[in-house]
Amino acid sequence: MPSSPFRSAAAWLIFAVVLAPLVALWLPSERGFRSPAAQVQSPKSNSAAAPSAAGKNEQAPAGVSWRTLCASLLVSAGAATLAVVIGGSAAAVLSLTDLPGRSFWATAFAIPFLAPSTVWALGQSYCYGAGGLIERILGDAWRPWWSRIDQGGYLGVALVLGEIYAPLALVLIGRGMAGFEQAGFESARLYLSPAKLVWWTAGAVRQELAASFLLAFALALGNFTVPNVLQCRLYPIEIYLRLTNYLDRTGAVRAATPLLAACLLATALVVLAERKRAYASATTAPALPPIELGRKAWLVGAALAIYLTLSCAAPLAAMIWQCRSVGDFMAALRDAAPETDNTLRVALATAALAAAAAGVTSAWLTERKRAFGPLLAMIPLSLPALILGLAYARFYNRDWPIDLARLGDTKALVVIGLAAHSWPFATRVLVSGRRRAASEWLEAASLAPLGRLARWRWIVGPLFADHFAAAALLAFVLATGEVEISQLLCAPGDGTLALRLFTFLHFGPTHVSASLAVLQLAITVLPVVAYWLFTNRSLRII
Amino acid sequence: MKLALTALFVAALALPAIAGCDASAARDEVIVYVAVDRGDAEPILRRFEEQSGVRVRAVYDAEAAKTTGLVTRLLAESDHPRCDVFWNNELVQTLLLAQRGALDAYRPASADDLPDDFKAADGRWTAVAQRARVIVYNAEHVPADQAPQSIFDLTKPEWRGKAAIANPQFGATRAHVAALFAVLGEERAKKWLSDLRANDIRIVDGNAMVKNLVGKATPGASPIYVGLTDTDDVESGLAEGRPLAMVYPDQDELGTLLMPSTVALVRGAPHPEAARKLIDYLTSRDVGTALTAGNSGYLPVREGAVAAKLKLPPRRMQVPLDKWFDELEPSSLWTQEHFQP
Repeated sequence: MPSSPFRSAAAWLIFAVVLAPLVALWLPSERGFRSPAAQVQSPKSNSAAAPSAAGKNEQAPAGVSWRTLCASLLVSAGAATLAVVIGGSAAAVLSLTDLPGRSFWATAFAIPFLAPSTVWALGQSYCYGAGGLIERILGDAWRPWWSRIDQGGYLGVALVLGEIYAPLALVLIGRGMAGFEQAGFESARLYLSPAKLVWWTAGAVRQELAASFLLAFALALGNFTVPNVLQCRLYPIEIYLRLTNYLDRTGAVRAATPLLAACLLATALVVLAERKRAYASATTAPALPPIELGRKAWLVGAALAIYLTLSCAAPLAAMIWQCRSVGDFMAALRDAAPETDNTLRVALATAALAAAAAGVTSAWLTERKRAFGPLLAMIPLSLPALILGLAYARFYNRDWPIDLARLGDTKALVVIGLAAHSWPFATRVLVSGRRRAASEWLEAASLAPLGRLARWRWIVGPLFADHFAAAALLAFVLATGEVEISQLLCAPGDGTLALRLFTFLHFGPTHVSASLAVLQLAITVLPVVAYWLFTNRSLRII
Repeated sequence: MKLALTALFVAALALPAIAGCDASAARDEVIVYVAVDRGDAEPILRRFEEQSGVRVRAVYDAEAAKTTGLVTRLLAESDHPRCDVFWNNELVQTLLLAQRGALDAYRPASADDLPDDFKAADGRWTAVAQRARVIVYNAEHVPADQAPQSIFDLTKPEWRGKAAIANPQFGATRAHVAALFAVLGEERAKKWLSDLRANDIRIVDGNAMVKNLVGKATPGASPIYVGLTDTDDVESGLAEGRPLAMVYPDQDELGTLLMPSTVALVRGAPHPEAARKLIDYLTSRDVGTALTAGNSGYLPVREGAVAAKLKLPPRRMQVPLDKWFDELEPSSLWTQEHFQP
C-alpha cells in the first residue's frame, strides 16, 4: 500500500504518547507529585511544612546494589537459556514433525506466558514449596538436598522464569524453522547424523535463537512478581523497596537506571537479531513436509506431556487443592466481585486501546525498512513494568497546564499504562499479519472503487480480523494479571484482581490467595482456549 | 482508510474515559489508605458502607512495603491530597505524618471513653486497637520451655541461623527498632541488631513471612524455628492450622512492645464529612470489640473489654512517645546501611 502521511503522523503521535512519560523519570521536579512513585522527588510541603527531627535525617540516595544486580543478571541469563532450550525443543517438534495434536500442544505451551506470573509462581510454590503438594505426597526428604543447591532461592526463580518465557522462544524459533527452504532442509536430513542435524538446525535459526534469548533475558530481568512471590531478593525488589520508602527519595530512579540500560541494550540487540526476519507468528501448518515420527511420536508426546504435567497441571492441581473447599472458593470469589468486574473493564479497555494503537503503528512499521521504528515499538516491551508504571505515575502527576492528574482518579490512567505495556506485543502480532498478507490484496484494496469504510468492511477487515483479535486477546490477557503498573496507577478503590491477590499474598489466608489465583487463571486462560477453539490457529496467539 | 483509522483511534482514546466514568460518579464517598491487614480491615469497611451508605474506596498496602509504602504515598500527595483517612496498624509513622503537617485534628466523640494514652492531645490520631510484638516459635520443633523468652535470646548460639525478622525499613519492625533505640539507647540497640546479624538471622519482607517461615520450618531445609513478629500474624497462622505458639518477650525487665493501630484525618481531605463519619465508626467501641474478639490478633485499648481473645502482656515496654518518634528515622537510616537483607 502507498505510504500515508496521515498514518505516519498518527504513528508518531502514538510513539510520543507511549514513550514521552519515560523522560519524566529523570526530569527535575520541584513540584508536588501525587503518586506513591512520586516520593522519589521532593514535594514542597514535606520539607517546608515541618523542619523536624525526622526531616533532618533525609539522606542522599543509597548506591546501586551491584551484588543484587549481578544476581539478577545471572538469574535472568539462566532463565533465558532455559527458555530457549525448552522453547527451541518444542518449536522443533511442533514445526518440523508430524506429531499428532500439534495445535493443542502449542496452545498448552503458551499458557505459562499468558497466565499472570504471580499466579504461575504461586502455583509452583503451592506445588513444590515447603508444605506443598509434592511434599505431602513424597515427603520432605528431598528438601534439604534441594536447599543446599538452591541457597537464596535463585535457582527456583530461574526455573519459573524459564517456564514463563519458554513460549516466547517457542514462537520465535518456530517461525524461523517454518521458514526453512525445503531443498536445504531435505539435504540436511538425508546427509547429516541426528546430532549434526540439530547443530545445522540451530545454525539455521541462530538469529531467532539470539532474539528469543535476549527477549527472555530482558523480560526476566524486569520481572518483579516472581521473585516477590518466591521471596528471592532480586533487583526489581530492590527498586520496589526504594520506591516505597520515602527515606530514599531518589533511590528508585537511580537504582532503576542500570536495569533499564541492560533491558534496553538487550532490546536493541533483539531488533538487530530480527532484522530481515519475519516477526514470530508461527503457524500450526508446517511449511515443509513434516518429519515422520512414526513410533517415536509416543515418546515425544510423552515427553511433552511430562513437561506440561510438571510445569502446568501439577501446580494447577496444587492451587485448586489449596482452595480448601467449594464453599471457601465461592466465598473468596464473592468477596472479589468488585475487583473482578473492574479487572474485566480495565482489561477490555486496554485490549481495545492497544489493538487500535497497534493497528496504526503496525501499518507504519510494515512500510519502514530501518530498524529505528521496530526499536521504538519494542522499548515498552522490554522495560520493566515497575519502571514503566513509575514513569507514567510521575508524568501524569506533574503540574501541567491541563490537570492530567485527574486521570488518576479514573480508570483511564491505568488503562493507558497497561495499553502502553502490551502495545508492542499487539504491534508484533499485526506486523506479522501484514507481512504475511499477499501485497496484491492490499494494493487491490487501495485501488478498489470503494469508499474507505466499505474497503475496510470487505477487504482489509477480513484480511486482518484474526490478527486484530489475537492482538486484542493478547493485550487483554496481559492486562488481567498485571501487578506492577496497576499498583502505581489504579485509582483508590478501583483495584484489580491481581492487586487483590498481591495484597493478600503473604499475610492473607492461603485458601483466599489460591482461590483468587484460580479465578485469575480462568479469566486469562479461558479466552485463549475460546480463541483456539474458534480459530484452531493456536500459534497465532503471539 | 484515514477515516477508519481516525474513528478507531478516537474510539480507543474514548474507551478509557468511558471506563473511568463510574469512578468519579459516586458523590458520597471516602478514600482510605489502610495499613491494617486487608483480611481484618475489609469486613469492617464493608460494614461501614452498609450502615452509612458512604462508598469506601480503599487502598491497601502490600506486605513488602508495609505501612511505609502508604506513608510515603501520603507524604508525596500532601500538596494535592487524594486520601481522606489513614488507618495505620501502628503509631509512630502516624506521628511522623502529624509532625510533617499531613494530618488534621479531629476528636471523634466515639473515642471519649478511650484512655488518654490512646489518643493524641491535639486530636491528630486516635487508636482503634493494638498489637503486641511477640516471639513466634514452631511448636512442633521447639518445646515451650525451650522457646526464647527475650529478644536478646535470639542472639544466642542455639538460635544461630534459626531465627527470622522482617526488614526493619518497613512496618511494625521499623517501629519496634525505633522503640528499642529509644528505650535501650542507641549503642545497645545497635549492638543487639549487629548481634542478630552476626547470628545469621534471616531478614525477610514482612512479618507475615516470618510467621510463614516459622510455621513451615523443616529441619535441614528451612530451619527457621523462631522469629519476631506481631500478634495478628501469629493468629492468622494459627487460623491456617500452622503449628505456632508465641511468647510475650522480656516480661522480667524490658517488657513487651504494644503498638496501637491508629486512625487519622488527612489534611485537606477531599471528603471531610465522610472521613469524619468513618473515623467515628472505626474508633467506636463496637469496632474495637469486633476487631479484638475474632482471630485478628488485636488487643483492646479500652478498659474492661472482656470479649478480647488475647490478654494483654503483664509487663509492657514503656516508650516515651517523643523519644520513640525522634528515633524513628535515625534508627531506620542505620538499619538501611547496616541491616539489609
